[in-house]
Amino acid sequence: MVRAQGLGKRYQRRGPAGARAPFWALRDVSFELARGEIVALVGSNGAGKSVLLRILSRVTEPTCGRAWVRGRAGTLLAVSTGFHPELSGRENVFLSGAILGMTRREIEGRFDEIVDFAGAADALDAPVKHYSSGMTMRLAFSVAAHLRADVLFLDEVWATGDREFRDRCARKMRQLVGDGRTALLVSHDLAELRGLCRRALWLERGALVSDGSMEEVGRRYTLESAARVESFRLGPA
Amino acid sequence: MAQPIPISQPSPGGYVCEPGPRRIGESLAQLWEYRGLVGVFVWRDLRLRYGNTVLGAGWNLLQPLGYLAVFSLVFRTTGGARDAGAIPYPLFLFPGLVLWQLLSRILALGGSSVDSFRPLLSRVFFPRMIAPLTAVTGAAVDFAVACSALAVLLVAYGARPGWILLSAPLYVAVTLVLGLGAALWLTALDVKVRDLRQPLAFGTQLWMFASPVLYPLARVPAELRLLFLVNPMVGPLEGFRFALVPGAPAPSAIALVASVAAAVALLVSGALYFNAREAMLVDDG
Repeated sequence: MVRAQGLGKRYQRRGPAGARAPFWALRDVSFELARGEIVALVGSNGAGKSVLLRILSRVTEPTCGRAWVRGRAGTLLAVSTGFHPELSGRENVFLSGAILGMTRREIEGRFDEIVDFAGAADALDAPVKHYSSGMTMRLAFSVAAHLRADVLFLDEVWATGDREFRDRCARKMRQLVGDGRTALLVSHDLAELRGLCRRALWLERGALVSDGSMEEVGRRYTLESAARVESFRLGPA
Repeated sequence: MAQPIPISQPSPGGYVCEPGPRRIGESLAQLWEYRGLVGVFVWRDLRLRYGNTVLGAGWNLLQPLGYLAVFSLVFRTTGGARDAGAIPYPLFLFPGLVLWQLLSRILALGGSSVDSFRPLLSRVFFPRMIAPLTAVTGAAVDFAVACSALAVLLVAYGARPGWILLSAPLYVAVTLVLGLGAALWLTALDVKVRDLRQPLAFGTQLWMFASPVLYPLARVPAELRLLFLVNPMVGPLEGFRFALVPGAPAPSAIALVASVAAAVALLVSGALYFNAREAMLVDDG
């Protein structure tokens, strides 16, 4: 469903003296995801995970290499994509849904589900700027969670809401991917990833360092990260 | 582990991510596929601009009506009303103002479209030409509202245009094409040349004074008239007036040909340039 071959991404950064300093965010990344595989993408900050997801969701182009995505793709790279604070919750659901790729009919059909999942039924007609940030994120995630896509690219969308909502999200994710979807998930929360994925890709400084079982890669990644003094959340190992 | 499905080329339901700009034909096909988004974004824009205000879409009439009031008064007292010939000055002025506002709106919205789309550009995929298209469509909606006021004015002055009225949409179309071409260029350049807004606002204002909006082309001294014909808005402005106001002078054929040529050239070059630079919108923005 997803095949990447030699993907590379170079950015032109301005060095301190104003000189052009090319920076390779991704280098020769190749992998393949079969239908129904849910794969974790791990790596430290700046490793290139977000860049990879951006390329796969066509937000940006690779500098070299190619990737193929078969089927309908759904992407959530930032939680409140398309949301506007001045518009009401109801309007934002339609706006965000359309931007994420749903047709109006699809949104109407799933509207109640989306609202129920987020628990936003009461506040629906109030402008989103009056919502708590948790409520906004729940609604935004709910819209994305109801995308009927064959392939999902999700970037760090777990860190939203309280424990109870995150559990609900995890269950929803399991249901979504259980329907035979292919997914590539980025998160620093290894506990969440372990619950969903059986395979993991480990990206470090733009290169694919490891591609193997979630257990194995997860273990090595955890060890490596603990060795490096870095601040991120560890799930129960 | 399941056997990976061999994918040698993208299936109809899917896509390829590869370096380099796409061929313009592909880009346009994709733009057509995503055309629904234009409606969504125009709705969003209108809702945000007018949704919570008292007058609603009526606000966009304020500028042409304001100009109309001020200039009618001014020229009435300085004798400039003679310039329009037998036509009452407000009747002469309003069609030109309304058509000009269409263009200036497109330029203003087009110049700031990167800003209004910036948060989305780095998070979700859609053909980037949607941004300038949204600017043009939004301005066209405002224009439609302004035309209703124009119709009221025509009726108030008892002006009965006749069959020539049917040519009015042609001049509007030329203006739209011109505007879209300019919007494509502006959006594509906005990334390279930061903050076009100041020079753009100034340039548009200057352009208006250099166009026969407040005065007919006949008023321009013969020596300068040829220079004026370089301005692609001369044809549509004179033509729009000719179509709507009985007694207004017909547009010069040279001006019309120049307008159409300029509009098409701007559109084609704008689309090609935008297509080539599309990737830059996200990376350099």
